[in-house]
Amino acid sequence: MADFFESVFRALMVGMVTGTIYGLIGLGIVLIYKAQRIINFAQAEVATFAAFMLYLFHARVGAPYVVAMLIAIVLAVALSVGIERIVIRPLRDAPDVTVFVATAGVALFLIAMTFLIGGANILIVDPLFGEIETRIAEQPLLGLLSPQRLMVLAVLIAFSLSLAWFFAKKPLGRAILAMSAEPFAVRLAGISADRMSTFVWGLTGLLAGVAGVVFIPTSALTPGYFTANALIPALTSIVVGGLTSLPGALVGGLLIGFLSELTAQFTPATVPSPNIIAAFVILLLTLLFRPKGLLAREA
Amino acid sequence: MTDLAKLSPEEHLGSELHGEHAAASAEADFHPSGAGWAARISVPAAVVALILALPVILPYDYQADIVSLAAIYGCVALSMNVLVGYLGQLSLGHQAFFGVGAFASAVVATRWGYPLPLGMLAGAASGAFTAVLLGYVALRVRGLYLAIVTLAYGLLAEVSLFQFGFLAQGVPASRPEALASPRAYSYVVLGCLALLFVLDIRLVKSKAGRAIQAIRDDERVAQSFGINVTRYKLLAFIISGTFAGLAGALFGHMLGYVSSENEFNLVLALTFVLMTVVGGLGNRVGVLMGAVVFATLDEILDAMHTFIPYFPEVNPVVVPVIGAALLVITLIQFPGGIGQQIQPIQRWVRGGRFDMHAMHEYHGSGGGIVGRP
Repeated sequence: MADFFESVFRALMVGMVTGTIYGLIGLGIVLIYKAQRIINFAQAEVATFAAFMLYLFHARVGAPYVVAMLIAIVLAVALSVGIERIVIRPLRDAPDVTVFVATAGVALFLIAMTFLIGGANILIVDPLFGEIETRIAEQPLLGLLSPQRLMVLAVLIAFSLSLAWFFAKKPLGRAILAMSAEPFAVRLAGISADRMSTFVWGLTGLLAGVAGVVFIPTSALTPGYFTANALIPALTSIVVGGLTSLPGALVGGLLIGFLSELTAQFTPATVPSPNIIAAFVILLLTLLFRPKGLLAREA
Repeated sequence: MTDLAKLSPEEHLGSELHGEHAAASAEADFHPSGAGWAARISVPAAVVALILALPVILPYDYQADIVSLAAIYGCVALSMNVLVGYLGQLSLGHQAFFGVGAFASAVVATRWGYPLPLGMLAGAASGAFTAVLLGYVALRVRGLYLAIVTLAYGLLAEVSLFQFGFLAQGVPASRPEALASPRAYSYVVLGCLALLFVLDIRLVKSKAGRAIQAIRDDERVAQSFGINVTRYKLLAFIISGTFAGLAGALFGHMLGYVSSENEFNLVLALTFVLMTVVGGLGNRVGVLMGAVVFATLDEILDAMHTFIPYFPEVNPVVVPVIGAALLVITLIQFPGGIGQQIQPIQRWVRGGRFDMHAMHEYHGSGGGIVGRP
């Protein structure tokens, strides 16, 4: 019995860690989807870009950690705004699938660029609180609860709740939502579609940047890290949570993270990647019984 | 839908009738002379002859495998085109259909020792089977939702399905003695591509093809005209899965060994989507050209480095950068892809005047609606 509870506890802890990154990447995708009905396939790669920049400025250039973090986040925002300007804006009238494919092209482009600059090496990024980290890691089970991981969770909760508040209450947030429903009418009301678009993409770049620099010390950085490891579960969890719901990204991410880890704990080792099977089954069940997602409402 | 709503019924009907009439009479006035027809037929004939000659005239044996690979990608492009171009539903799990076909054929033809054609059939059938499973999902969700489901399915196939039991170690996929050389095998692949090409033409001309395209344009309108939406959606998935499964089987026997290390991964799925979109959704010659470009891009760059003075040697890592850049430029400048750019030539070959403006009057299928499930 004690074994059983230990397995569940372990699944909860590991699931929380993986679930938060699904949630953080998912949150950025929901943001763009809410505002423009676009699925941004490059979101995870912007996070990888930020993590890569953190490594570059901290380990190679030698900037202080916090400064390197800030530079990485600012560059991620700039990258995201650049993607909007160069790729998304000219495609404003194109079909959704075309825009989706274009963002996938951007993701491939960015992965190839990181390969070109950094090579295929595995890069280790130091955590923010170095000494506390090593002392806690010595504990058997609580070692999973490192400060860096708690920080990732805090960032996720803070972002999803404050963004939900922003869209529900602030005039700018409501203008962005109105833009996705009736772009023409909103332009008549004197709101610039281009500026809204730039703002939303900047915001999502900020999200990806923070997600990248905060999460990467808990793992190791390889080219395309977030796209390979977090993008598909993130997309799954936002469908489960509701594509237009910001708290839904949080709930869906944690749910997928926890349930897939739980399945992995109780599946015989002969079954390869049981966590992926679990995530897929959850996705199908959601689409079958509650296709609009757990927390979805209009817009 | 919205365009219809904006116009009053008379206006809409009027503009449609008038436009069609004007276009039809302009076309009817022009008839190519005998020499004109000869010229028009000679162009596709020359292209076909060149393709058929390629495996023989290429200096090295291994280069015939490049021809095979391009033709296999061509089969996949036709498969994607059925789903994305005609039905308007994006699939990001095509590498799974492709991989299932490769594994099935290798198991049936080599592990169990049945003849090669039977293995290929098994590959095509298993591709169709997995596609139909996803097709049932597609009856409930559309557009971007379906894209996400196919994406998740592709990942499932890559990390789980292809790792089960003995599949994890890989399966050898041999070829009979007569087809052992790459040159001989490439004709098998080209033959399969030709078969799929003809099937695709027949499909578009048939009732089923029209029904599938009607569902793409508006599902509810199609239904109100008595089209069985469920049936034709599933049919589109079956056709697409069959094509992709056959392509996978051809791929497996080309390599001689099928394993999960053959990159049946997300990057392959994206490559399939990119080549189809760059090729031009709904245009079968266009998607084939897109497939050839993406299958041979690194070889082309390599050849350019060898033969063109001062052309830099291109790092293989950069190839996806060029692919992605091609995609973005295509989408922004020509949403109809290569299919749009070759429009003047295609119209000319079909017996029209050569008119560069055809490039800008392109009405390809953009495909895809944001699906609320």
